[in-house]
Amino acid sequence: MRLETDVRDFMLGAPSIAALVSDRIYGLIRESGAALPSINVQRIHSMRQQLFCGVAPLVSAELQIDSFGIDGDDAWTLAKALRKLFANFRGPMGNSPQTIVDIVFLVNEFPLIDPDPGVIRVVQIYNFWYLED
Amino acid sequence: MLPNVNTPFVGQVFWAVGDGASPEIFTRYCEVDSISGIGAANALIDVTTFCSNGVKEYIPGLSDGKQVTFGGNYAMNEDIQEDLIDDVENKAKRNFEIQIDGNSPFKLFSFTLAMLDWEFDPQVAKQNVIKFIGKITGKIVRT
Repeated sequence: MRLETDVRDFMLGAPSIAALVSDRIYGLIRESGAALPSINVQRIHSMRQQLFCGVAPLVSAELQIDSFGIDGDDAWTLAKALRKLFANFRGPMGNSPQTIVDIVFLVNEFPLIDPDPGVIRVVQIYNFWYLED
Repeated sequence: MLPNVNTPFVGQVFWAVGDGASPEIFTRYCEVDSISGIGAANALIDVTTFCSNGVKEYIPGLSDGKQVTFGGNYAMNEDIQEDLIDDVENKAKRNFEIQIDGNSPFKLFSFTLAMLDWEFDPQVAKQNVIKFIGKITGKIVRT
């Protein structure tokens, strides 16, 4: 059970995403010239609450999910599919043992160019609240 | 467990709630992340007389326990939280301990609160929280 892994499994299992990227969902690095469209997932922030008895199991994490496409339309189509997949999601995510997600918010979204000519990246920052074992 | 030294420390303080039974059992309320106001203040008594050489003189008067506020995460199933809400509704008193987890036995502040207030504060994008307010009645016993 690791949030990033379970988010990747969750996206791979979603027909709307699999139809666009097949299994092209990666971690930190997208190799230059790799097939498109594709997705990168990385954690950029985690916040844990300190209680008087110790650390609370409910964690707030921000994941940056990048949608890469050969042009803006491809990248934004993928980003929209992700936004609709995660909107108001709550429940178990990934494969056993699953991560229990309380809620997901899309907190930021913006486009960037890429070192690969013609490639557009739409960056989405999602706030995940989940239970940590 | 803290070393038995005279140095500052972080954490190791626990908020424990009594069950009112005899002997009383104190259970740590682990959703709590804020506690304030534990203490007492003496009334100020003016004892100035014509023999005070033109300056005011005072003595400490009756001690009055302070108002204590504590709060933490609201939980769906938390017996202590529900008991404390009941206390406010029933205008009840409850015994509490601050347990400082040093060398055994713990250092304790023991006191009773007249339970005055509970407040549930829903949050849209973070943990839901609840807080309670009680007034210390009687003496804070330090052991």
